[in-house]
Amino acid sequence: MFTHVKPTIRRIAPENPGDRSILRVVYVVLEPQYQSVLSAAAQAINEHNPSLAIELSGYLIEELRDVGNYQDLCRDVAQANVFIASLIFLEDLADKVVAAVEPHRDRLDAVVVFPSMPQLMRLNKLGSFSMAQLGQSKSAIAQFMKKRREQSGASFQEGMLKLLRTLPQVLKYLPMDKAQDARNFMLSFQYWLGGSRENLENFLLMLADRYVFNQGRQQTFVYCDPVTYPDQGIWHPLAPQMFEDSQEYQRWYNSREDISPDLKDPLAPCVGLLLQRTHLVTRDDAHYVAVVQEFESMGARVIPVFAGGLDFAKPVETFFYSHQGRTEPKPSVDAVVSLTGFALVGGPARQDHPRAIEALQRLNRPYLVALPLVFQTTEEWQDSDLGLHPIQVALQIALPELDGAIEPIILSGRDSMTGKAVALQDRVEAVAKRTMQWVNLRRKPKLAKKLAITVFSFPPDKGNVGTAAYLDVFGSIFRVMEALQQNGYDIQGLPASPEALMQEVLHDAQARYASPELNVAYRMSVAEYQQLTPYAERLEPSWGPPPGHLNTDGENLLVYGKHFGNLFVGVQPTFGYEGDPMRLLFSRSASPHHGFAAYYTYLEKIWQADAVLHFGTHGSLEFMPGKQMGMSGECYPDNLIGSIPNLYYYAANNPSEATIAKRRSYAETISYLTPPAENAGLYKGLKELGELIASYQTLKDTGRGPAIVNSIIDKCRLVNLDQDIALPDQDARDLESETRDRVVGQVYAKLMEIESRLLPCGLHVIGKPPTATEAIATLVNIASLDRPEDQILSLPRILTNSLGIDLEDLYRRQNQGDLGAVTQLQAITEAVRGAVTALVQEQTNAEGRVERVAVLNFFQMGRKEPWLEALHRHGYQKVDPQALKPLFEYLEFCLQQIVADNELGALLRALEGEYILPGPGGDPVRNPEVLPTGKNIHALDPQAIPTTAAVASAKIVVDRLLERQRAENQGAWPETIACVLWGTDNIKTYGESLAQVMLLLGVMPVADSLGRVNKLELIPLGELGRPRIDVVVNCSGVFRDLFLNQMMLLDRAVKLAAEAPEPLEMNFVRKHALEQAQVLGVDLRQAATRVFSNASGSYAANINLAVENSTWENEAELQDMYLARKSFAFSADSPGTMEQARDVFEMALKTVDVTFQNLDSAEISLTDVSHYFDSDPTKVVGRLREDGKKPAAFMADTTTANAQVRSLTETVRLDSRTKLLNPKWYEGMLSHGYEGVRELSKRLVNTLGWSATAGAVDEWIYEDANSTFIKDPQMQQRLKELNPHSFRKMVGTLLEVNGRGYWNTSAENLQQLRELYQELEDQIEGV
Amino acid sequence: MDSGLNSARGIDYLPLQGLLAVQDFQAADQLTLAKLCELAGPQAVGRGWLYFTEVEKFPILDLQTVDSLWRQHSGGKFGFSVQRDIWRGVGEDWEKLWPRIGWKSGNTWTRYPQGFTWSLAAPRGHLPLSNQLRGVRTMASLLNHPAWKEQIVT
Repeated sequence: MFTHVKPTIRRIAPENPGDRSILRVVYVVLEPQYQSVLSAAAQAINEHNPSLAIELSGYLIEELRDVGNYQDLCRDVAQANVFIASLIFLEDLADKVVAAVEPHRDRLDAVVVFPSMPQLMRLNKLGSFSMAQLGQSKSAIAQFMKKRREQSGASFQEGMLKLLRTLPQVLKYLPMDKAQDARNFMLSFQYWLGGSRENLENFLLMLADRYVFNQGRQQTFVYCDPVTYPDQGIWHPLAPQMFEDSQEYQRWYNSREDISPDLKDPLAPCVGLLLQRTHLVTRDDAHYVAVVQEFESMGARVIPVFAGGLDFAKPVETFFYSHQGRTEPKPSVDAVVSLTGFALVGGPARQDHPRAIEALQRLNRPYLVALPLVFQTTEEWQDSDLGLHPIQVALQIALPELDGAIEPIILSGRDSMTGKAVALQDRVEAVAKRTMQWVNLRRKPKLAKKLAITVFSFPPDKGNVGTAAYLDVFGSIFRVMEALQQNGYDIQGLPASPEALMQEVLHDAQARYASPELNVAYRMSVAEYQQLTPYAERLEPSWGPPPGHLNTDGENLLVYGKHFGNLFVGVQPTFGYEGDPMRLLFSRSASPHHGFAAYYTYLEKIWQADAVLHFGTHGSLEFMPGKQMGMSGECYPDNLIGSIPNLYYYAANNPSEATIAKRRSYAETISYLTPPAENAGLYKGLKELGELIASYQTLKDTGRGPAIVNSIIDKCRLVNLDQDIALPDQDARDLESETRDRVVGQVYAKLMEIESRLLPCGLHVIGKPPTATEAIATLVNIASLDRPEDQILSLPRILTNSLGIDLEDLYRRQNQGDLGAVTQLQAITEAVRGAVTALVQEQTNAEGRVERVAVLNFFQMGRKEPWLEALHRHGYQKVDPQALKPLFEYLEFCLQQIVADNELGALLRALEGEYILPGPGGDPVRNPEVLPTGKNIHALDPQAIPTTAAVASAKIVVDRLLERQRAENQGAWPETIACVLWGTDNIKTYGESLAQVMLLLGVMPVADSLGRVNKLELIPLGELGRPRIDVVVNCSGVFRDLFLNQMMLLDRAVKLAAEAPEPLEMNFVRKHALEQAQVLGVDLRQAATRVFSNASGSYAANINLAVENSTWENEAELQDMYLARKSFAFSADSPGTMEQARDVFEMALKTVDVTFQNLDSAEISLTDVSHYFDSDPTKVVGRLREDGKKPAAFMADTTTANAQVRSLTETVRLDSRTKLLNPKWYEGMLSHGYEGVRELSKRLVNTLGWSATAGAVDEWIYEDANSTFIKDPQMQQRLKELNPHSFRKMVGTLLEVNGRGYWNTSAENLQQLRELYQELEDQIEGV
Repeated sequence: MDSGLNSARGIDYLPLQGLLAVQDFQAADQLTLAKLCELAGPQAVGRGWLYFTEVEKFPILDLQTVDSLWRQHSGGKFGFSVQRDIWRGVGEDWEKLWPRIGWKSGNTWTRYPQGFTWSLAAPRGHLPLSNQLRGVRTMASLLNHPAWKEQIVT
């Protein structure tokens, strides 16, 4: 569990009640700051009041997940006079509170609920005042509530505050008796927001006096009106009062005698702080005092501002500008640190991110959001491997990120006795030091700034230095260096070209050209290392005493890289355990090694970088061991990065891992575009096949038809398409003409699938946006998706509508190989391309760049839109121009975004200490908001998924998956499906794969009125129409980090299904869980454990590392790694831990009939990355199943409008055909030279991975690869010259594939490979 | 006249001496904070805790008086200067200091008042206390105070 604090410690009872009246009060709140002050108020009454005493019990909302605590609450409410609640915005818990209170509402003397979910607000009652009819009554307040109901949240609370101010007027219009009670409700709100002990004391007395002991009593209770505080203002721990005016604060500040004149200098660094007023008025402000002290002791001026409501944009606008004379107000702060943990506008309720971004963009300063522990005590957080409570991660890390917040560092703990915030000194220092470094970036002259660029090297091989997804790293660094130099940074010795730059970093200048050593930039003695690296000692249990054996010459620690004036380009060391099978097996990762630590020590302490730029997706810093979220001073990412501002160029399509970098290594990301996608096209035999089909279409009704079909069938066999299509054995002359058509239709459909596949061709260079023509394929795909939320129909749908055909029906017929349908869809594709090309050409100038013309108005220009013309030319005469209009306006907008260039600009601004605009990460096709790149990438509100749209898409995939599996198994339903959940996948698709799992189980996710998914409902079997399918879900480490709450939801779904009393043949979850419960001797709920991942702070099965480094003996070794590392179970009944549960995991895997993964985007496909094969359990299941049968393996492909479910081998073939073996793809890569060869090598290794974990690779793929890259002498020569290290790896991989028995080939081939390997070895080692 | 209880701001340390003389360390600790607040001024008295800049402005004389009272009545075991020596000995690393003076064990801070040892059985440097709820700056100012760098002969 995340929290064990018993609410009973909050119980207060009078010691000497005597004959006093006893008021029993129960409260439930989100904010712990009310705990100590309510206790103090009750104690004060108990000590001093002659006629009243209080019995108080209180609960923090999150504690109600515990069954015992909830029972206590119900019991307390049953005996209470008064119930109070505040800020309850978590629907599942809100419902629990309602269930506890509603039965007693009539009996309770008063129920006072401050802004919360509507169902809770309806409980409000004070005498005749009630909100039970919320939204139905006609009274002024009810009308107000009705208006606000839709927008509960920030604006709701702001509205309440406004109402408080205008109360007298409102009351005039209320009937007299009602007015008193309504007035008392508003007074209650004032007491509560006024939050001081005195206010809460008077609040309790008022309730007692007016609503509890109001009949037939002798004594009266004396109480005062609420003391009110400013809605917003400036606070300082030493100031005698709060200030509502900047100048008043300045006057007071300048009159301080305790500080030196330096701090009063208007030019002194100035930090704006955002504080919650409730912490101030409740005097729960120790952490605020600590932060102010820390900044002042570091020589900064502070402007600590507060707000009483949830809108902090207003105080930002009011207090962080200086108004001098009649000039434009100028920002008076160098950085802003929010200590609230909340989104800038809306707190825990409904956020208004655009409003927040507008305010922050105008201010244009770094915006850091530090957070207090809310649900956990200090010790609970310190002892937890998971770190911060997932609800807090959602509310206080994920939501602020949408505002562009950076550096989510925990600044205070919580005392388990008092509930009060307690400063965490080392965290407060981290926040202050890191903030001051951002301030420094703003203030230091560019010429004096020292920067570091860090490049990566995965796997550790010289051919891999500078790896980053889709990025031409040295080409990009070169552009960054030029830009820095032109901008006034001191860059010396800029090499003549990217190639020259690469040579200087890669090779030891002292040695000869192409030496085996990287260039050594610094030699750090062990003594220096130990002195400057306080945590060095902690690394010794894993790595022994320094210098160890990595990044060392045996005596010193070596830092690789090269200096260019004030810029250092360095190579990040690798994990260091890639080659060690034992370490790969550990469920937890080891610590960083000494060489790794020395690199970061060098950056911070010796080079004294003002900022470090991590270059491209991704390195290993953020994956170092430590808590999952909410780092402590013992977590390695925190130790390593120290106080250096961390900028990170990150691929826009990878929001999940970008988020890990932001949260664990405090990175501010700057997104870069993935290379422009193109259609894969056809080549060699596939191209010839295309030509044959074309001639069949024109000649099929002549006598030549059957002969052409025979040629087609032969050709198919030649290019191995016979694996994908069931070809007839007999001569085509003996076939019916419909059968011939169907064969050709199937082949055509397959070819079109290959041809139209989107590929990123080549690598992206930072600051080089695609030309307009390069953007066509992307725009075609954008145009092919329906966007119901924007009322935009896809172009294919507009075209089929104009023909009076149903697009879904056409897709269905195409899937069946109906030649007519395939042809028609191909014609539609051509027309779409034609129309989009017409649009792009219209917007493009002679250089192929887009002119800055906004929307073209052809109607006024008196001619037809060119795209309409194009569509007419393609034969779609009846197309509806009204439907086209919004689509093409949208496409024009997207085009502008695609070609915008903001990547270099954003970096330069970040280096100047400016605010970087946030933006979602993801796939530009699905979500063009990703564009233009150069944004600080954020994920999404993790509680918002799966969305309704995602559930609908998931249903299509689930239906197709089950349909296909049954078609191949005589109609039998699979009993268990093993699924993998990825972070990025679920961000891009808003939780489609999450929804798939739920639908397999027959469980429907339900969203609350704020759109957050917290509830589940069983779909009745009658409605489901099939058995509930059992699942084994393995979540990637990244998914676990980002979506712990969704893991909880899934686990609840599994248990819900298992506990449904249904016939076992209709509920496989229950069937298996009952069996497992018996065998393992556990109860049904425990047996129904299906949600697994890595241990916290650990990622991947490490099969990827073993495969990349060839450090494995046999497949069983890889399978053991999977089982050891991926068998940590999540349980909703104990959500704060991830316990290893290998026995349950293996038992569940034993029942698996199908393994299943999702492909969500064209550019991250099966062989592009190593993580798909790393987590594929296909062979593991085969080993565990009693019948030893390998399960069926499927991939869903949702990258196109017509979602497909293919077998894994089909998908590997499609991927190999469109990438590794496709001249268009590999030539695109090779145009980037060194890095291109590495990309080829990477694909080949990943293909090997699929042989190893799933047996999913046909031998011809290796044979064709060998023919293409080895046997072709010209190609061989090119690869040798461009990147001998990576080419050696390719040759080695082919030999390995053969050696492991995945590819049988001729003796000559093998001989050639061996000789080539030796030759390359000699060349590299300089023999 | 020299009672040894000198103050640059007219603070009366006699009651503190009285408590220390009878080894009522808990009351003496409370009074020490109260006296230092008095030394800082009426605002600090009202607030009940010290801000680091107030400590920086403390007269050397007063700190030395308070410190020597604690040292005298504890056989040199308690006092700010004792804490400073230990702190310097651990390389000015706060995290290393806390367990040494018995303020923290593992991740857990010692609870006030029952967790502390109000007798000479306490570890060296255990008293007087400095509240860490608001961070370490106040204590840092105390231990960095010039009072411990130059001895004023009185």
